[in-house]
Amino acid sequence: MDNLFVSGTTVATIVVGIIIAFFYLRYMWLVLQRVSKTLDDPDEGKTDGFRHSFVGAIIAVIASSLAIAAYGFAPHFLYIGIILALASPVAVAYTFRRELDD
Amino acid sequence: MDRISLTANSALRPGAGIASEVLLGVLLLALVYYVKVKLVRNTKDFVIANRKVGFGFGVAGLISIWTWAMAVMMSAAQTYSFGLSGLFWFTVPNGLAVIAAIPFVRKIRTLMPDGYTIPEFVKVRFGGNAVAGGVVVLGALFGSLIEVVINIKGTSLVVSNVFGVDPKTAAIIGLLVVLTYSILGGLWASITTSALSTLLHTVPSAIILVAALHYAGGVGAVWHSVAAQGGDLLSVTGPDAATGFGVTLALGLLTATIAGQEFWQVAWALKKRDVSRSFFWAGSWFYPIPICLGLLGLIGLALHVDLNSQLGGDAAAIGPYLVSHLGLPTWLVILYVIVILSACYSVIDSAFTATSSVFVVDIIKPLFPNISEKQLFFWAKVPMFLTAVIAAAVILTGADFVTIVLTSYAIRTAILIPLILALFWSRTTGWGFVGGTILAIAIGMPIRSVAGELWGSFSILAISAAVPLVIGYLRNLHFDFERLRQVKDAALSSAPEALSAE
Repeated sequence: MDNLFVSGTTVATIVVGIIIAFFYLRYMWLVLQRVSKTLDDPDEGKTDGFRHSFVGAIIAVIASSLAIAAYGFAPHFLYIGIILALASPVAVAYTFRRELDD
Repeated sequence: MDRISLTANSALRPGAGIASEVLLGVLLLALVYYVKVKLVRNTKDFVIANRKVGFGFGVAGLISIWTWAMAVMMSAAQTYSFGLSGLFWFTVPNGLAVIAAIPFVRKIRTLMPDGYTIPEFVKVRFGGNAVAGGVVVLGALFGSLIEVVINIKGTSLVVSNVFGVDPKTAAIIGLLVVLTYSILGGLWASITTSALSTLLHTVPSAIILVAALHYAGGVGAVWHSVAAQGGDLLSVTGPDAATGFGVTLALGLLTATIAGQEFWQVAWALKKRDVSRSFFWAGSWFYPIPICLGLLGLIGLALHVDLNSQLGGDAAAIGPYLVSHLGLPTWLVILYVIVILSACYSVIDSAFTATSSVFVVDIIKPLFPNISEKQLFFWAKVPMFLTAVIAAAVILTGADFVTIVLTSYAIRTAILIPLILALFWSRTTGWGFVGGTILAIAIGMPIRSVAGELWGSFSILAISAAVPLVIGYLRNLHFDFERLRQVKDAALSSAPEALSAE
């Protein structure tokens, strides 16, 4: 079993990953069902709602640059990429959740 | 680090490789079947998802559409080749290219809310100029074809390297899998399967990297081994990566998003309010994928993997090589292959859908304006099949792949600035657009072959900008952008009763 699941850290990552995947798939499924029921609803009168793309772009670029640069600071910063890879589906699941609320 | 031995996993046989390709396809097919039954009723649903893609599917779909197989492997390859500066120059422009598309997709959606394709926009913008339309149709179809070919090559590279499957067999199986579900669901299939793929790009990548770092001796051993090699490998400021590939890659990426039908079709398929924020979130949350998978390149450096003797001279093989030789359990190796395959599949299905919308809106509809909805729905699927056949022919016959890549690159790069001018500068004329594009290719490509990619790209961009600007100033004609707003919804029927869901 040790070899199959590699290490305690790997097991922890798998558990966290399964939890994230569960919520991701749940929200994705709920949105899919909702889309099928609202397919012919009009999309009138609603304008593009995001106004902070320029500032957001700068922040995103700086943050990603810092994440890569941090790899060079110390060994444990190598985990940043792994944490971000787990954060990414959390963020996407949040967008599904937001879509359900809209 | 010297105690780590890299040996092939003997459990990885061709049958497992083919099974991975097919099983992923079956999973995606199950999702697409639901989508087909519930969401795809007519041509408009098929090619533009009835403009009902929301925030969640928009973000998830865009992330995966942008995550090419080569992007997954190249993040590790550039880190392995240049250290952290390679990862920096590969990753940062990648996410930025999606975010940089926001002003353009927002503009086009505002100006032409009922559009479908770039050629459609160009034809209306330039009063039906057939040459301008033709050039852009050619660029869009070539661009999509090349995306299919590159990603199917990625499929065969990984499956053959890891499992020893014949590369051509792996490519054909991959093509058949994607073609099957794409023909069923069109853009809805592409968006929903891509959303699932985004999950497959992220969580499995994290698990694989944690395990790979463990087998490589832990983060401390990896980091200190790379640090001991010196040469700025752990610095993002090394100049070699920027001059070696960074600047030209950044230009190519911007061209791919701003002038790519795959992105414009999503912009038109999104609900109006979700366009900008979807592109922004997608660009931002794409970053973790290459940042995470780039770690494989650092592990390769730490373990002193030899480019020629162990990777066959191809740095892109560093990821597949390490994952299959570090001693990881077989299920993790298969999981890695699924990460790559899902990246391949999501780009290919998006490219298939792009060919479908261009073919229907810019070729079939103008030729047969009174075509019935049922016939149009049939013809929407034909270009997917044709693209798959041509891609298979390129792979099987070993046709001149380089020429296709160069042609596609040239057309897309040459179109970039004329397209931007067409969107934002009312004095841009059809002949300025055509002249800029054609002269940029005719003069810029020879410069590229003599002076290299960097100067070639700059030449193409400079010429493609100068010609429409000069002609625009000389002609002094002003286009009324309101005319774009009056464009009808390509007369595609969106009536629910047009076709049953079968």
